[in-house]
This record gives sequence, structure tokens and C-alpha cells, in this order.
Amino acid sequence: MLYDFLKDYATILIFLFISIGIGVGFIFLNLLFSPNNPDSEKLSAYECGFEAFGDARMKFDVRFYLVAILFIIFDLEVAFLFPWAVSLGNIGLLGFWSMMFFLLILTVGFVYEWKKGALDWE
Amino acid sequence: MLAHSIVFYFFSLITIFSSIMVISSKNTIHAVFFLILDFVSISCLFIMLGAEFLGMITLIVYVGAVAVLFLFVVMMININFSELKSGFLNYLPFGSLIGLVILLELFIMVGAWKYKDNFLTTGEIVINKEITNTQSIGNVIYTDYIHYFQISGIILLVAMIGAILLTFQKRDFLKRQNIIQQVSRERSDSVSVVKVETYKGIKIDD
Repeated sequence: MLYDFLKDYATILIFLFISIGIGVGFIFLNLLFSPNNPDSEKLSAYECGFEAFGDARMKFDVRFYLVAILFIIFDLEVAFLFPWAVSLGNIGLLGFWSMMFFLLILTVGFVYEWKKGALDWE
Repeated sequence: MLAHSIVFYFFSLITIFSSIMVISSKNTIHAVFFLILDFVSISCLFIMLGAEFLGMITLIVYVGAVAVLFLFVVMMININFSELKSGFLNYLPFGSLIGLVILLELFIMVGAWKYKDNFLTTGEIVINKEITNTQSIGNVIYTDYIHYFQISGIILLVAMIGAILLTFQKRDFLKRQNIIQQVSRERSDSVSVVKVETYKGIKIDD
């Protein structure tokens, strides 16, 4: 069950392994050669600094989430465009206009979010 | 063939390892990063099985978008670890029930695939090996399955409008610069010359 096209991916696989090797290798070399003298004073607050009041993690603004969701939706729209572009020659006028209608529906949503001001950052 | 198997099992091991790490790592951010590794290795597995399009879409949609969304969710809900642990016993019966059901379903699937040849009918689907599977999807989805395609478009529209309605709030208290208003302001809008009678005074804007 070996597909021929997998041979094209062999270069990507080699690239993947080399990059993993380089990444892990540098971390390993760092561990090996860097001076390592742990001391609790090195982690403590320094001179004018003071102890932390609370958690460094804080809540994100919900607007980031909105942008991410809108990104996902248009991402999916583009994902539908790929097979359409590949097989546009076979599917005739119906296929063409069905995609145009699909894009029209999403353009309605796009106009809505534009007019609503969801894309403005203020 | 041997190289194919070795690489396949390599990616399978990464998949299993990272999915175990997703549910067992203490830090939720680390869990999300293991989820991303899981998605990447699953897409590699899809490509190795011959489902090229599915693998690439997994990369684009799941790794590029859904994982980012998970990260945002994790950062937004501001997790308190001690609170999480206190609720563990309450969720245990329900969670283990769902886990058990999924395990049984997996057993049924694997058992049927192994011991009952006519259980799954996917063997009857004819796959044309001459064309890429991006093209074989594209040949049917926009014409034969046009209803499902348009419904998916409408679902995306609903998701878009729903997300805006749920999370978007207009901030009216912010003072913003309106350039058109600023430029089109006339002298007569704000300045007027008034003749003041002696000893009468004048009333302005009240």
C-alpha cells in the first residue's frame, strides 16, 4: 500500500528530522557546556524589585478571541476553495455558481461584521 | 515498504505519546502545545495513508486555527489549579462513564473490522487512483453534494454572526476621532456674533 507520491514527501521528512536534530542538538550542547551554578539568590527579587503580588497570568481581552474565531471561519472558507480551484474544469457551470453562492453568503457575514465594527480595534 | 512502516509507526508513537501528555500534563498551556503536536503527527499519518488533502486541511484548520483558539480559551478562563483539583471527584463518575462508552465503541469498531468483513461498506467505494484526492473531492462536493455544501456555508455564516453577537461589545465611552466631522465643521456651527443690548445682558445656551 505504498503510494508513489510519498516519495515527494521524503525531502520534507529529511528536513523534519534535520531540524529536530538541530533543535535538540543545541539544547543538548547548552546543557553540556554552559556553566551551571544554581543559587536561590539568583532567582530572588533584586534590589529595587519586590515580591510578586499574584499570578503573572491574567485574563485576556475577549476581542482576541473574536478575531481568532473570525479567522477560523475565513480559513474554512479558503479550505473549500482549494478543491474547487483544482477541479474547476470538470464541474461545469453548476459548480462555478454554487461556489459563487457560497462566497455570497459569507460576504453577507463579512459585510455584517464590517458594519458592526467587529474588525475595528479602537 | 519497510521505511514506510518505520516512519508510520514513528508518527503513531508520537501521536499516542502526545495525546497521553494532553490529558496528564499539569500545566494547561503545555497540554495545548501537546495537542498541537498531536494534530501535526495526525496530519502526517493522514498523508502517509494517502489522504493528502485531509492531512493538509488538518494542518491548516486544526493547527493553524483551532489550536490558537484553544490557547486563547486557556488564557482567558484564568485557571486556578487548586479549584480544578477539588472538582475532580465530582466529575469522576460521569467522566469515567463517557470514557467507558468510547472504549466500548472502539472495541466494537476494531472487532467488526477484524472479524466481520461485510460490516463496513466503505470497501464498495471506488477510489480513482489516477487523480489526486483533492480533485476527487472537488469533482463531487460542489455539484453532487451541493446541498451539504451550501448548508456548510450557512453554518459558517451563523457561526460568524453568533460569535459577533456573543463577544462583541461596542465601547461608546471611548472618544474617537471622526475626521469627516472634524473637517466638515463650519464656522457658523460654533461661533456667532450677538448684539448685546446695554443693561440687558444675554442668555447663551441654557
